[in-house]
Order: sequence, then structure tokens, then C-alpha cells
Amino acid sequence: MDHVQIAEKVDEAAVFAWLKTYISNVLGMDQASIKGSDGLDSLGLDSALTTALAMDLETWLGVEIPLAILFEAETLDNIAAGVAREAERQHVTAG
Amino acid sequence: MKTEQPDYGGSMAAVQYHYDVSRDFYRLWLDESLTYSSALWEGEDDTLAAAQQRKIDHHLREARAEKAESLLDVGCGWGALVRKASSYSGLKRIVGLTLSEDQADNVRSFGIPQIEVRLESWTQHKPDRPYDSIISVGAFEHFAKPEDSRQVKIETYRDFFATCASWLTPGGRMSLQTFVYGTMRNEEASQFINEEIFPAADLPRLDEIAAAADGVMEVTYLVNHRLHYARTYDAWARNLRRRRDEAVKLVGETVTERYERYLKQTSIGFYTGKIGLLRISLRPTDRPVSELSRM
Repeated sequence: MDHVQIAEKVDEAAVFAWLKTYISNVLGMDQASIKGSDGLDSLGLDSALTTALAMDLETWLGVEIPLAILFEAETLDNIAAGVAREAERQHVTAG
Repeated sequence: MKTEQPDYGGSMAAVQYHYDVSRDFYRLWLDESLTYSSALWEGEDDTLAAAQQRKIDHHLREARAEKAESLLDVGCGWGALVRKASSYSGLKRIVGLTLSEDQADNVRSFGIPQIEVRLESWTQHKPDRPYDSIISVGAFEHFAKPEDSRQVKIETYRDFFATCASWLTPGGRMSLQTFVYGTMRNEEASQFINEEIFPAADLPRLDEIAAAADGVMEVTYLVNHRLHYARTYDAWARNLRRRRDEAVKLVGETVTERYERYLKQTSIGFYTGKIGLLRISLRPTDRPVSELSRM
């Protein structure tokens, strides 16, 4: 996937900021109104928007993010933590 | 074309639309057995190929294939299940039904003498002898059409159960696996999936299956393995993404993109419970006690 820009050093805060920007764009919401305790479902993302989010998130990170990480977590905070952990794990594995 | 069969049982044009895209394309993202239905996962480190074989073993066990001499697979796909069944030495007659020419060709290419593949739907099938085991994985969801009322759907499913029951020998068993609507209401059923991926199909609901089986077949086991299918679809999505360049060469950018989106979105549907995945074991009812006591 040579068209992918691999994000350097992605931590939980960076993933959360990305999620916040992304969701505020697709739902036309004020960023400030999106909180770490919100969930994808409670914010009103349907399956089509969640699909797009998952695919764009992978493109941004340059690593595969199993959907289980998005759905085992109930809140954006937990999603950000899980995604950051997975990205770190794959970067380490890749050497 | 003159037809004396009911017009349900799966539309050949619709099935070919979905499955005849290109075997090489599916080969890029399915496991090597080309199993295109939910796997049965065990543990974090499981592989797709192992989980698919475990699923096949589940159905063979539930249909009691080990003790069977004959087995019918309604909707045999590219033949992974009938192929595995052919390793059971007691099974002398294995029949697979499919509506896809390409799938039938693949099964024939195995060259396994006890396997017979037929390009026909269950509504057209006229077996001359009964079967000891019937398995159907991923076919049931193609039987009803979007315009069918709940009553028509139930009648269609009931005809399927009654037909299968009539084909089973005393003590015969059936194992079924199908998508179902879960928490999704009919009116929010994904237009994307219905129109672009599985045209001319409407998913069953658990209550319709229960109503259809009532008095015809007894449900002896039933589980909603939606998280197994969520994981399977996501595994396929990730396989396709890894081999994206090859996919684009085979089917073009548009189709590749459509499948990427469909695989991810369907996985999400299973994760959220909008759709479910039922594995159901059944046995015919209305059997004399004298027959049942011999089982």
C-alpha cells in the first residue's frame, strides 16, 4: 500500500484527536461537544459511517486495526487507547 | 423458459451476480478452501483456515455425518464441506447443490467419485433416495425476496423444512447456518447490502424460522454466533486490503472498493447485532416412536 502515509509516533491523545476531528466533520458537530466518554453508537454513527471511519483510520495509521478493537471498547477514550496500543504493537513487530 | 418449480429457492441470476465475479478474486481474501460463510473461532491466535475447518466439522458432527452413508449439501459453494465429507469412509453418496456454474466447476475439478454436484436449487432437486444427513450453510438467506410478506417468507421456509424432512431417512439430521436480521428493523435493512451485494434476497428472522419449523422439524440446537461472523468478515476485509493491488488488476477499482466497504460494513453489522448468524440443528418431527427408539 504505497499510497498510504504512515503516521509517526501515534499515541492515545493523537488517536483521540483524530477521532474527534473525523467525527465532528462527518456528523457536522462542534469538536468541543465530543467527549472521551462518548461512544460511536451514542454519537449517532451508523454502520456506513463507522465503516468509512475504520477504513480511513487504517489509512491514516498505515496499520491494520481489527474492528474488534473498535467494538470491544465502549467509549472514544477506550477506542483511542486500544488503537494506539495496536499501532504500537504492529510497529514493534514490523521492526 | 418454462418452469414448473416455485419461483423461490434462490434466484440463479442473483446468485451468479454475487458468486461468479471471479474465483480468483475470492481466492485473494477467502481461506484456501474458499469457504464463504462464517468460521467457528477458538482463541486469539486462531487462523481463518483452521476456524473454517472447525465450522465444517461442527456441521458434519451435527448432521451425524460420521454414521451416515449419504449426505446432501444445499448450497455447496466451492465445495469445502463436501470435500471434507468425502474423507468419511462411510459416506458413499455426497450430493452438492449450487446455482453457480463456477462453483460447480470447482467441485467437479476435485475428481472425487462419491461427490455429485448439481446445478439446481433445492426446489428443483428430486432425489431418488433419501439422505442420512443434510447440511445447508449460507443458502437459506437467499430463499426469500425483499417484496415477500412475512407470511410468504414463512411459507417458503416451511416448504424448505418440510422438503428436507421428507428427504431424510429415519434418524436423519440436518444442520443449518444462516444470516438473520438481528436488532435491525426491516425498513432500515441496509440498501447497500441488499441492492449492491445480494440483490433479490431478504434475510430471515429468528421468529420466522421458528414459525416455519414448528411441527415440521424440531430445533435441537440453536446459537447466535454473530461475533464469529464479525471476526470472519473482518478477516476477509483485511485479507482483501493486503492484496488490494492484485484485486484491482482482476476486477477493477470500483468492484474492489465496493467489496472492501461491504466486508467492513457487514462485519460492523454483526458486531453491533444489527444482523445475526444462526447455527441450527434440526430433526424431523412426526416420526413414529418405534423409529425414534431405534436411533
